[in-house]
Amino acid sequence: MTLAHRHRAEISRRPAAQVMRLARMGSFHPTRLSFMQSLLRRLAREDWRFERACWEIDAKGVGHAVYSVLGPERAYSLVCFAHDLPDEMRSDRVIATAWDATFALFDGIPTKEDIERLARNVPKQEAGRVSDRELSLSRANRSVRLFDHVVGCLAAGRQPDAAEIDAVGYLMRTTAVYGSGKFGAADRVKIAGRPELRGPFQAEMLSVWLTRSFTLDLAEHMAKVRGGDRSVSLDPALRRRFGVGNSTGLGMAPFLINHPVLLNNWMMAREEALARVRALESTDRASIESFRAALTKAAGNVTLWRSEHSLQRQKLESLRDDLAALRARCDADDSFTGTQPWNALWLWAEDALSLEGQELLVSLLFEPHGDLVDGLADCMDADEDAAFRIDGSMSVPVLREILTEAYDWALGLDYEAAPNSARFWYVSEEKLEPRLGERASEEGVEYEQPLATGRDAARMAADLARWQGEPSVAAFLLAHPEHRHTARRAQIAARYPYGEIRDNLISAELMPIDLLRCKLSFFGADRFDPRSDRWVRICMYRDAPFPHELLQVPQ
Amino acid sequence: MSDPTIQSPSGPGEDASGDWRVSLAEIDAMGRKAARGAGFSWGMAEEAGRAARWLAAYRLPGPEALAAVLEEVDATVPAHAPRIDEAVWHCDAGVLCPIAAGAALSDRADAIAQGGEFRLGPVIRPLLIVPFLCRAARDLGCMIAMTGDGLEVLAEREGPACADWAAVTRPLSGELLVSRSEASALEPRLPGADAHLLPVELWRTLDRFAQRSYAPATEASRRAGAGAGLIDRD
Repeated sequence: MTLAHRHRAEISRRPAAQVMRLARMGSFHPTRLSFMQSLLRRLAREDWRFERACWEIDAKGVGHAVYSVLGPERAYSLVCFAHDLPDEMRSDRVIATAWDATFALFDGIPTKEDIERLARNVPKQEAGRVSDRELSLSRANRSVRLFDHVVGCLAAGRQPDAAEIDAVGYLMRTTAVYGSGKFGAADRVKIAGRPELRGPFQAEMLSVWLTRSFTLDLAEHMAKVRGGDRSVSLDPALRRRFGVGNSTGLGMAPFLINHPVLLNNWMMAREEALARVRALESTDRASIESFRAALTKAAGNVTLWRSEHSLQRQKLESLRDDLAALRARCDADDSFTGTQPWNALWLWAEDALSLEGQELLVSLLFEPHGDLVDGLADCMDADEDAAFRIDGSMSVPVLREILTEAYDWALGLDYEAAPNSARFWYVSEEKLEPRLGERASEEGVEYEQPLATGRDAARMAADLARWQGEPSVAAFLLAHPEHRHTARRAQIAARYPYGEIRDNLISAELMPIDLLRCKLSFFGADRFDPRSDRWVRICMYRDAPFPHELLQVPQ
Repeated sequence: MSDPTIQSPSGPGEDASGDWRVSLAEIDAMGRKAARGAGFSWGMAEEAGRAARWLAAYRLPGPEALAAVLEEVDATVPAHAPRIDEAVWHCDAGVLCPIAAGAALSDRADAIAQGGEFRLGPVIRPLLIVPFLCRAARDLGCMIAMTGDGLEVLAEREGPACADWAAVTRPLSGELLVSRSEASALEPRLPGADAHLLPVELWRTLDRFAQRSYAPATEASRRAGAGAGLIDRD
């Protein structure tokens, strides 16, 4: 073994106790491994083609359009319906019943009959029903201010104002993007065997990418209707500044808790990538320049990142300081000369930067190292069924040991103390959506969802300590079926170290937006803008190429 | 980008009739919520949803069997759970719940793989035990037979094999023997992934149970629960 190899072996993935904390997960930024990024890399690598096969939108902006991408084996089409929505009906809440635009991602190229069928159902969203030819169902509302500004400018023959664009970032916000078998759509199992959709959320990410094109085409169309010959198209460089917005609330929050194996695989890929970069013995000029370019771009992005939320404002302030410190640290010519220069930078950052800055550095460190990192995107899906069966032959002492190791953060808390049990998760009868209630003052505690992972682990640990019967998990669970959910989680946690979030999810201190941000960063979203402690607005695909730029188009 | 396994599937409207198209993920979610609504623990309710989904994937009437079980064990779930202190598993209520029995068998799958045998019965709908045995067969790399009272199912790694499924879908009044098996003359069934058409009435039955797992809306929940904050216009 060479010296270099010995050095490399010393750098391991960060421990779950450090990574799986909400304050840190709520500071994640998108990386090369994020699902939008890996989708676009694949489409470009595999020479996918793009076409807008249909554009039937009238002078009021009402009608439908079809955007297709065609790969080596299969094609997918976003079928878009544009509506004339009165201002007073525009709401991003899940309780809305009408939207500016509605979409379905169709498996293949839709026929006229398919489009007619979708036209009867897609605009109704939850109240409609799609088929297993559809892979996702979604809707979007306009940013009225920016949409009007852009249409007005283009109609008058001028380009819109870059500052106005940057202040909002998108022409439309999607709200829910439903995939994986919602409302009768195709199950995950139906598409999981296809290489292009095997990774998590690839169908949803494709749908959002094509939605972005539709929103810009629609604005240009409306400008043409209004301005006629005077109107102009958007300058391509300005066009890139538009992403797609998204508003996400508590509906998404339980996802990471309910999919521990998937969460583990996402985190494992990210941590493995970080460890690989840190372990590099030396670096070269090209990598350093690539890193510095990513740092400059990130600094620009942070300048445009606004939030009215006090906590996020504080975090942004720290992040701006972090970026200044990081640039000072990396600007010097000899910044990367020692052994394991990236690791040296990382160790410096763990002392010098806030969590926001440290986690941004993770993203930056991946940038020059696509050859080392990108392949890990293929390890981020999960066979959840394979982890479902409880091993009843495990002994009670072993299960107790797992709790001691993986739930040490949970076992010492006093859940009788109000702040440690302040909240409870439930599903509301009215909207069938996950909600968070106050245990002391709200009714409905008997409907609590099994998301109090720490408290439930502590309860199971107490019953295990008292258990006098046959010392097998099988015997224990026969007597205590109420612990079956937690026993399954614990066995999963033992096999998948990054599967469990190591924070009390019913604490008075809980910030649900941390759960949202972690998941959204894995999607590839940025400019997180919390609108309360429970919902967040983001931007997706900003600065990314458009399908007609990245893919081949028919002449 | 929400999660179908957690969010509730929308139910058929009051005027819907005939068949209702659902995905496997929706069967899973509905089965889990419905079982919770009937009084199962969360962990056991997860087993119920998975079992119904698993059977549906193999084109077997899992959702139908689960609805029948929930009607029977409603509010008396513990009385239908197996007591295994005697040679034949039985329960206070007389007929065993196949979810509880299936979970208990699954938890003892290692013993079955090592040659152990279990006897149990009667069972409300033995069909729902099959997914537990198949998952165990897959995970442990063996075959498990469930025989008795005119039925015979073989849980193979790839799926279940049976010459007469009708016998498995009926209530079982006799006794079952679950044991390791070495050879099969039958081809196992293979799963599909296509959507399912279920009778609207069946879906409504499950939904009635599922409704009991949802908290009634209150003013406080409407105001704070969803995370209202700044308005969402710009």
